[in-house]
Amino acid sequence: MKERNDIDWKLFELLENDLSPEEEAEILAKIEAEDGLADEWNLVQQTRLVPPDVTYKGKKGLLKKETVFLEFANLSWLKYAAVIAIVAISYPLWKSYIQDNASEMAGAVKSIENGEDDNSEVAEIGSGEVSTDKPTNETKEVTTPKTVARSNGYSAPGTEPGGSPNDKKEQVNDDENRDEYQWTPLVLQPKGYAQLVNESTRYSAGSVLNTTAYEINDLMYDGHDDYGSGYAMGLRPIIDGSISWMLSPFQNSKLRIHRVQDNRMLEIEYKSIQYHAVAMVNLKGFSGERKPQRH
Amino acid sequence: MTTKEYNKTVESLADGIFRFALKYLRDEFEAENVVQNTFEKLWVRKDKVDVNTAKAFLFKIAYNNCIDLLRKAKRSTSMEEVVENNYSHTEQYSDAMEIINEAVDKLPENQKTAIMLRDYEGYDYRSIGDITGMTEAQVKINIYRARQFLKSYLKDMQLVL
Repeated sequence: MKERNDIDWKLFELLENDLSPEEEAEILAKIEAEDGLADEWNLVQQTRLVPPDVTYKGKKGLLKKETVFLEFANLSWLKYAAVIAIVAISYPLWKSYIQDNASEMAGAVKSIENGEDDNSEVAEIGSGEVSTDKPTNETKEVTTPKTVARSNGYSAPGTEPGGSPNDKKEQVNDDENRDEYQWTPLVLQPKGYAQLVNESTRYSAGSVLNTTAYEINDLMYDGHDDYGSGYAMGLRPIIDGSISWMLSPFQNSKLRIHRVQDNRMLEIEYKSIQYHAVAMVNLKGFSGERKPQRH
Repeated sequence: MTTKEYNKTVESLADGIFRFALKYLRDEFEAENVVQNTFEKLWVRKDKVDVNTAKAFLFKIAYNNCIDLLRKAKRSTSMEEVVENNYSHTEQYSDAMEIINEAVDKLPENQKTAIMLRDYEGYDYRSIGDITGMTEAQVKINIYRARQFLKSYLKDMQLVL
């Protein structure tokens, strides 16, 4: 029995190629010599499985699309081309917009100075309505074109020396407040973005636009009192630099924003060497209150 | 493993995995599910699997998947079906290959896995051991017993025919 098992094991190892050359030659000689062993070897050889010809049909469903990674360096020229294209397209639009705004401002200044537009909200400032409804904690100042022209050494186009009667009235009413607010010029430097929003403007923006413009404030500065190292990180310098470039025509201009009439309106005052404009913005729709939802 | 290497692996090994699962489970639908699950796992872990070890990885996943499915199937198989399968030999065999294929299905799981991986995929004992968790000696003895069973089965069937 043991001898029989040994023969089976040897035939198995012969099939599996596990025998040494000497052992292999020995067992092959035995197979040739013994007919019974040859039949046995024939059966053992038939136990080797032949793989069936099977094809998996869902192979295509298993294949994945290759992800193509484009080197950023290869796209650098595209990046610059895109920037140039955007600038080329936007510059004429921007310039025409600026010119339109400038002419409108000039027209508004003329209206204010001449008191022509009595129905406008701007004219209401001149009539003194704002000063009678002055909020307790708000700094109130409406500077006349005449004063601006004098302070800057220029005469605004179309401005008559001495200003309108309304201007004088307003000037008298606000004499006490005149020196309380010191104008701080907006110094716009494309690269020196740290000075883009100076302290006074930042304060005004932060205190006035704390509802509707809150996100814009977040973009402009980080909300801290001083500009830390974090200011120079991320997209903000790029954004501020871009804004500075866009606003460069308004260099050395002055901007003041105030809430008036119990915070129901914004008074926006713009002063430059040539122009002086005051606009009132109704905050009725920008109170931040949510409309009741329908159920 | 990159996506390209993964796709090459699919092209070269999907048929083998399907053949292995089909022979193991004898259910085409279940075998297709095994192939899909196996390659899905490879795709998820493609960053960790080297292209040289992908074949062993795939067969190991497929083997474990087949084992799980068989165990579930065994739990749901009634005793009557088992008796019927064991004593029904009404098939007509055309040649030794069909007899062998019939006999393979009757092998114990360990022997069946070992001999299929050995003959279908050409794995050595160590690789089969890596896939099935057996030692090389266990693999060899399982293959030996499987061949002995097949030889006996073949001899018996030839005598009957």
